[in-house]
Amino acid sequence: MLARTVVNQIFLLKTSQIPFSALSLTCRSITTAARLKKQLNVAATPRPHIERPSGSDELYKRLGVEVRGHDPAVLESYERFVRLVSTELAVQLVNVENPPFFTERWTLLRSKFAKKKYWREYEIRTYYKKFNFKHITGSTADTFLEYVQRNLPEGIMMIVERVRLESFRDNLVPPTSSFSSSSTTTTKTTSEKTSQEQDTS
Amino acid sequence: MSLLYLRLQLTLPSHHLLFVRTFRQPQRSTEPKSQIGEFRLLQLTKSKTNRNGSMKKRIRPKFKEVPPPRYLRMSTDQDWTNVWPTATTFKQSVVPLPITQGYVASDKENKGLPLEKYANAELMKIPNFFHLTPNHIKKHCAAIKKYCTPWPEQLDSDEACEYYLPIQITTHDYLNSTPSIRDSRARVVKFNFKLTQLQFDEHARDKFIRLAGQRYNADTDELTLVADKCPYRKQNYDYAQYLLTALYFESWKIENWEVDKTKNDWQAYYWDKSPSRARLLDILKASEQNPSSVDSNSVLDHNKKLVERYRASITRVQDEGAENELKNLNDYKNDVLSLYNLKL
Repeated sequence: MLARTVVNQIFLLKTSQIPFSALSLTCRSITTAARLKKQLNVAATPRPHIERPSGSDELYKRLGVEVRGHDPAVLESYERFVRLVSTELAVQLVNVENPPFFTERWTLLRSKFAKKKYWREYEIRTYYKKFNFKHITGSTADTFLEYVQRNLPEGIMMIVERVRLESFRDNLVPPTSSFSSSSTTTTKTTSEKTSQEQDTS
Repeated sequence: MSLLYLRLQLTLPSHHLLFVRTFRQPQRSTEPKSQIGEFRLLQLTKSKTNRNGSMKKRIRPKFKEVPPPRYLRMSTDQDWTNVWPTATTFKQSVVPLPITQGYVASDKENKGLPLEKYANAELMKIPNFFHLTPNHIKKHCAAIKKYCTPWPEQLDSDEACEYYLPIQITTHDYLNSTPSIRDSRARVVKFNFKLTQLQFDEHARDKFIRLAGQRYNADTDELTLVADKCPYRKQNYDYAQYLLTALYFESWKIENWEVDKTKNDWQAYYWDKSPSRARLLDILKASEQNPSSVDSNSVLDHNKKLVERYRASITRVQDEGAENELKNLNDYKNDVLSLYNLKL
């Protein structure tokens, strides 16, 4: 009935303009309008000023170490090793996930020539293991990862996912009121500036 | 590493003259008898008919006498970290365990017995962890523990982390056993934060969300910026910071054409600007005795309570959409009826 309903959003607006939650059509997305309206008047949480001089230790909220290999026994031994290391170095290991293995299969002819009746099945399996750590500083992470990577067995691949914590830069404050509530002349100049930026970029 | 296990005594007799045999002066002549004399025949190639002495039987290779394996002389309370300090291939003479590996199909293979570790190629092929026993790990960690730093106590929960340091930056590193150490996937940088951490007014927040588009998740009020345009991670990080700054300041600007916003573009239903209010005023004015002398504010104040209820119910109908549609429409119906003093 109105432009704000989900159906109208999809059919009247272009795909890029449709809010993401409206595209998903779950029962949550139907209340997007109400939620967005409530969020429009949400007051910003006051930001404490944190001194983080350059060169200070990084802070990792989460560290995900995923290892992949063809031999599950090797990965299990590696898990025992990593568990011991994390207790020794006082690193918080949250859990160890075992995603299901991935198998790649081929069915190929057994013979070089003819003999179409006889085939062979081949497969390659990749086993996964994921170690999840939390609340680890940069130097601890570097030490732990270097030790653990030096002792990575042959033929094992590792992917490290780091989630670092940072604060906003100091310049991200609302511009002064005289600028935001400006007359048409200043808004014209800003639109000129933005068009200039677009030309130069 | 101590050399005691060698148990050899190397002493050089310094007071004797040492005769060092050099290759230029063989002890006895190795040339054939026909060649011995002042002038030797020039022989550039070896002739096949020439034979040195009698024909000898094929010499069977003499195997060096190998001492018994080392593990027989090991004590049970030895320090294994000294025996196997680094990662090496499996050495059956050093490992004091009776390890077997292999499948024996029938009594004909290896007399039906399990395959022992002596000359077992399969045991040599697989990676072993003899260099990473608990004692090894304790020693190594004790040595590198000094390079670790403690986590600050104030950041003990997710909420505390969000409060002090709101942005989460995700990066990946890849470690393969390939000839190249590069992996182009490592250039990707992802920024994540909640919009409540930034200061907005109503217009700025709405504009920010519209500009962000699919990058904003309304369920968790999170903005995600993924930067992978540039070849290096630092460049992508800088680009993401620039994007964030640009987005923020653009959302605070009010352009000329934003004034042309119609009711269809409203982010929320504002009853005060809506045609519903205008219509209501017309109706209420018309119901008064002297329509021209009546002020709009006083008309609304007159029926303040009912107008407020009507306003609330119509706003709920417009905003909540299909969620409580039936209930909202019912409330709306009742409020309209009470406002105009009608009875069904």
